[in-house]
Amino acid sequence: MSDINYSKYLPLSEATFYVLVVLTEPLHGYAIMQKVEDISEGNVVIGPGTLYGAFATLEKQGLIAKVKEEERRKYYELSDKGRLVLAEHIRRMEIMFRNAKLALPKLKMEEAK
Amino acid sequence: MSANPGTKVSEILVKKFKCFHSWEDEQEQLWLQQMASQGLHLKTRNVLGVYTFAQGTPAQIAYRLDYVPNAKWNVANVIEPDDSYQQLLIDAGWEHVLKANGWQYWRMPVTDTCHAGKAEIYSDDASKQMKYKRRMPGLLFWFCILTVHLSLPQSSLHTLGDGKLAYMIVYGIAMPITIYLGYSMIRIYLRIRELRQ
Repeated sequence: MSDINYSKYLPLSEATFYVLVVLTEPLHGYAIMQKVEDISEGNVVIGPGTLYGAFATLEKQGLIAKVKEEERRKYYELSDKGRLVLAEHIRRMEIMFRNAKLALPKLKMEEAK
Repeated sequence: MSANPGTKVSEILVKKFKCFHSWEDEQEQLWLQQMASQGLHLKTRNVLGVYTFAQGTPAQIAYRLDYVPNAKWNVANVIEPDDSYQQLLIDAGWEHVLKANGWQYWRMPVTDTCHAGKAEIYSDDASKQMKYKRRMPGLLFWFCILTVHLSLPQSSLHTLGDGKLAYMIVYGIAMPITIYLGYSMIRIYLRIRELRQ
């Protein structure tokens, strides 16, 4: 597989990140909305129109692919490219998280002053 | 006189005329919500702006207008309003009311606490902008067609004969429409810019 230009896709927005995370298994639109809201602990609520538009964008970018259509519902799943992009995003988030952990005590010291 | 079982007892229909420009979708949503709170629930709408309501119990109902044209030549931000578009909104709790000129009318009761605050089809500004951007190509298409006809001397309009009554009438109709289309595009562009900030 040719090299992916990650900067074209990253950083992912919070909503896009969650959509890609839940699409590690095939799901249809409303199931995605529910699951995203659930695992983000209510922080990310995606409207159906927004999600429908996101399908078109992500499919065009080749990050997700339609796997089947059943009872007027389209099921999507991450493509190989989508998996690589999400993995790279997570790798960068881990670095950010380590740095965040280091910065946090310093922030608290500033507050105490 | 007894009502036929299985069919609805005759509804009282109320017709109202109201004109909303295509950049005034939010005002239209609010107006429809106000009508619902008075017990008037939208049934149909014709191209001239005549809304038909069914009289019923007053309720708090949120209306949302979405613009998803069918046209294949609409290259910008194409999303095809196929069955899965409607199914997704229905799954999310929306009721499809009607479809008119690419506009889809949706509604959802807002009294339901589990839906309170979720009554949005578009959850971020970027996707709201896309909705307005989808409106543009259609307007631009007719704007260009009319502009060409009004300005080119060899166009069909001018074969009616300069100065003749037919020419005056057609020109008198086409000119204001062209200006209106141009103005609509400016208003929609301003709406997109507002959302970008």
